[in-house]
Formats: sequence, C-alpha cells, structure tokens
Amino acid sequence: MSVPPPRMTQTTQAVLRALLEEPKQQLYGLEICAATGLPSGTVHPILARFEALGWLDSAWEQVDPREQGRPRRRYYRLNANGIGMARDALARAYEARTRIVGRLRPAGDTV
Amino acid sequence: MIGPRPVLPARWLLAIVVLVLPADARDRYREEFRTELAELSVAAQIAQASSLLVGSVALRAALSSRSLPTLGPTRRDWRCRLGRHHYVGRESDNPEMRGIGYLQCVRCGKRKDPPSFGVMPAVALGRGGG
Repeated sequence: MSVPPPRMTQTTQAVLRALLEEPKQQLYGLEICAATGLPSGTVHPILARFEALGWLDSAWEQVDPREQGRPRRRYYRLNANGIGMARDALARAYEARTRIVGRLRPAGDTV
Repeated sequence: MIGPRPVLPARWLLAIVVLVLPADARDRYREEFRTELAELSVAAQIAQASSLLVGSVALRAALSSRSLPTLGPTRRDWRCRLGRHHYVGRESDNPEMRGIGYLQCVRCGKRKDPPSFGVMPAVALGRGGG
C-alpha cells in the first residue's frame, strides 16, 4: 500500500520550505499560512498529503484549554524520514526548474 | 469550546467544509479549523472559512488517499474513463491456455477476458496471418 508522492508545485514547495526552516520546531496551521503567505484552504490539503506519505507528524497541543483561554492547536512537524525526503524533493524540483530555464535561455546567452 | 467562538457565517461555512471530509476525519478537522478561526478577526474568519471551503475537496482527496491501496498508476487516462481503451494482444502465461491470448489496455491495464471476444486472432499476437 503506498501513497503517490505529491506534485512539487510552487505551493507544495513553499510549505516544505516553511517546515524545513527549523525542522525540529513544530508549527500549526496558521503559522504555516503566515510563513508561506498561502491561504488555509491551500495549506491543509498539502499537509494532509504529507501526513499520508509519512513525512509529517501531527499532534494536539498538550495544554489545558481552560488555562490557555483558547482551544488546543494541532501542531505539525517533519519527522526524521520526512526531513530527508523533503530536502530531496526540493532539490529535485530545483534541478528540474534549472534545467527548464536553461533550455529556454537563448544560445550564447551567458547572462 | 473554550475561548471565543467564531462568528456565525464562519461556523456555517466550516460546517459545510467538515461535511465534505471523510467521516473519520471530521472531528479532528472540525476542532482544528475552529481553533484557527477563533484566533482571527471577524473578517479574517470569513475569509479563512471561505478558503477552507474552496480547499475542502482537495483536502478530502488527500485524506482519502490514506486508505486507498495503490498497486499501480493512480491516475486513469481520460480515454480509458470513456471506455476508449488501447488494447494490445498478450499471450497468456497459463500453460493450459497456450495459443489463446487476451487483450490488455496499455494505459490502464484493463484486460479483456477471452470468452468475451473469442479466440485471439494470430495477427494480434504478431504471428502473421493473412
């Protein structure tokens, strides 16, 4: 049983970069939206796909909502496997983009 | 719910979002999205809930992919969806069926059972003919 890896769209890459910024730090939905500049409706499907792939772990905040005066948050963090996979995926996406840009550049253009 | 409640329009939108999701994920995402909404201003809550509604189908698809086993290509070609398969002849590897092949679509792998179209013509198996 396997989940196909997500297409490395710009939005997917942005979410991965936000999560890789400080891999040991856990982020919740609104923080990821703020870091990427993407709306929640775009971010959450991406997070769900990475969770299904096993790259991302999520867990409820371990606090007492009454003490905090707010409901508990759901935090996300790349796991050890996910950190490596995410870096590889971003590197491959960068290589692909560089290859495409190179083909589009006119011959002899060194700028 | 502890803390400020999201405004009514945002809660309505959220209710629709949650209905779109798979049943086993509703409780989790209802709580998660309500938490996010509660931390936003009124205008931002409605924008956030609207965004979640727009993304709800994609979220459902992502959540549904957790439980679906994938044994091969997960995207079926649109032509195969319309029943327009591209069949090629295959020879059966069953020794008892030697000489009788079957047709298989090269795009989606769908097989045509021999009884439905009869004995495989030799031409289809590349054995010449005519």
